[in-house]
Amino acid sequence: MTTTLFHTEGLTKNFGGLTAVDKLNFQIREKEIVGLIGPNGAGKTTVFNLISGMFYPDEGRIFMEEKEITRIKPHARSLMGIGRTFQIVRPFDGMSVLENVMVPVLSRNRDTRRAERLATDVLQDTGLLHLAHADPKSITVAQRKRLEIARALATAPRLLLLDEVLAGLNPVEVEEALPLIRQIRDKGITVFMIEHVMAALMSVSERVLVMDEGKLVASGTPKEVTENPRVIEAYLGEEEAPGAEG
Amino acid sequence: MKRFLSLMLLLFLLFIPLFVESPFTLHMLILIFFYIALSVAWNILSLSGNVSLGHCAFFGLAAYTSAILVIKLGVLPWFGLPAGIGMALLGATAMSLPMLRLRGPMFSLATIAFGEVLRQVAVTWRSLTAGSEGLTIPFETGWLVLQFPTKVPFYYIFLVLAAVSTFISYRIYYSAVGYHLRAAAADAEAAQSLGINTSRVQMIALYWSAGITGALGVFFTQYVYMIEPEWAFSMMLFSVQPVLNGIIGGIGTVFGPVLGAILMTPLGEYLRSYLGTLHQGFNFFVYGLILIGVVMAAPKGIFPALVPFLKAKGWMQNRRSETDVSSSSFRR
Repeated sequence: MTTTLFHTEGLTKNFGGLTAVDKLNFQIREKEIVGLIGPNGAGKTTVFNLISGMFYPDEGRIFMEEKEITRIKPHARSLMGIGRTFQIVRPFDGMSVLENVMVPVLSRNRDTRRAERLATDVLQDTGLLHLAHADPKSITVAQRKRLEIARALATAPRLLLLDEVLAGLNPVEVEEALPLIRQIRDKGITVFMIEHVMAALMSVSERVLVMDEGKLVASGTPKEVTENPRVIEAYLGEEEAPGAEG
Repeated sequence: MKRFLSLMLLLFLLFIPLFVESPFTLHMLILIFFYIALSVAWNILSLSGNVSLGHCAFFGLAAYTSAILVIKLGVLPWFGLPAGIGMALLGATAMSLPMLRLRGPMFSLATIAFGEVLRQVAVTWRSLTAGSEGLTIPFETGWLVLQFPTKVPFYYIFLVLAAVSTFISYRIYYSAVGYHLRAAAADAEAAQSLGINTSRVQMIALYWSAGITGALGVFFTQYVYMIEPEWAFSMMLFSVQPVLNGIIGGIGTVFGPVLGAILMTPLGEYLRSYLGTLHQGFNFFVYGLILIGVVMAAPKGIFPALVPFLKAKGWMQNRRSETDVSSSSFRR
């Protein structure tokens, strides 16, 4: 029986008159790969921002390993084991690929030489070693997404939030990314991922949460979710319905 | 080869006062060392992406604190030094309030106010500072009172200060704090999501930057043995000049400001003394042209533009990112 790594109670966030996240309750267990889907504007990235600490909720509580983190600052949450990538990748301008990965290592390890070695290991694991001294602006989108993941992995997270890491990748690149995600979980890191590339998400997730208009409307295995009429209804009017891509 | 040349350079610098007697030349060299130290110190803060135009506040606060203690209470300048640095750090604490709340250009504007307000205070608080008349340090000689009959001891003092300032900057740049500063300057939110306390690292940069500037204020005042508000809180001399040196030499690098100071200081003196009479403020006009030229031809500064050549000649290792300037620190 795996333990609960992370859960929320009544998580709510308003922006002006809009309720982006509405009394959300969910939990994530250790070593799961959990997908988060929903139509555009459902509040998925807002949930990630609340978990990583970029915003604080208006109501509700957040717990990491049974410790409440609702008001804890973002950098402290990172040190507690919450790592994330950004939908639009944000590599540090003016620093090489290797230096980008050294940055998070250095918040846990002051020695620059040791940090360089540890960062090199991470680059090896994510297949970016040959680009160590490259400028992030000069590498491909797929490689930049890998760098984003490598940087988050370098924080030695317990929970990794992947925000649309497959967006903008061609089908070959998507196929190359999935084993990496499974590898991450096999190392003991729990993965929570937002995705619109449905087939890929369904093939890699064990459990899927579905949001619509700020609320959690379904939760279950990929198969259960794609057959759920409430989920299909949420996507009506959208160009994609889950499972529509073969 | 590189070590040999560095050693030769060091010996050359150490022995200059033995064969240079002209006080004018010594003064010029002292000014160059002073501006190397000051520009490097200012640059430490700019590593965090915060461009301060208020460093004259730190200079003046420390300078006045030490001068007042020395002149009015007979304290030795060696005790005035920590007191001055302490005051500069207090000033830095005040500057941290806008720094942590305002973005880029807004912060820079706010810092201008610091120097200006303190200058006014120094003018008005006559009982403490003698206002615009200024104060003079009574003439004595000796290391204890930090005054000398020739410029030679100050040559060595400022040489050491330039070396210490550059050393501190180097150590910060290549440490964990240095990486975190550059990350925070590039993208503060992304940096926080990776575990960096961006407020804390900015404060570290601010305190080092202000502290070194304050120390320079104390020593330079001893060198000129006079102090008055227009000078001690001069925006041109102690706020704008290091910024110019830094931008032209290469902002956000360790050696960029050094190069900038070496190039701009003699030029500035020449412009002021020979062409300042042609038309008042002509020197600032030339500064502006140079700045435009550099920003167009070598936007990251002269030193980063030279680095590819230095690396090709094996003068620099290939791995380090001395060239990788946080140019995005201005895109806030």
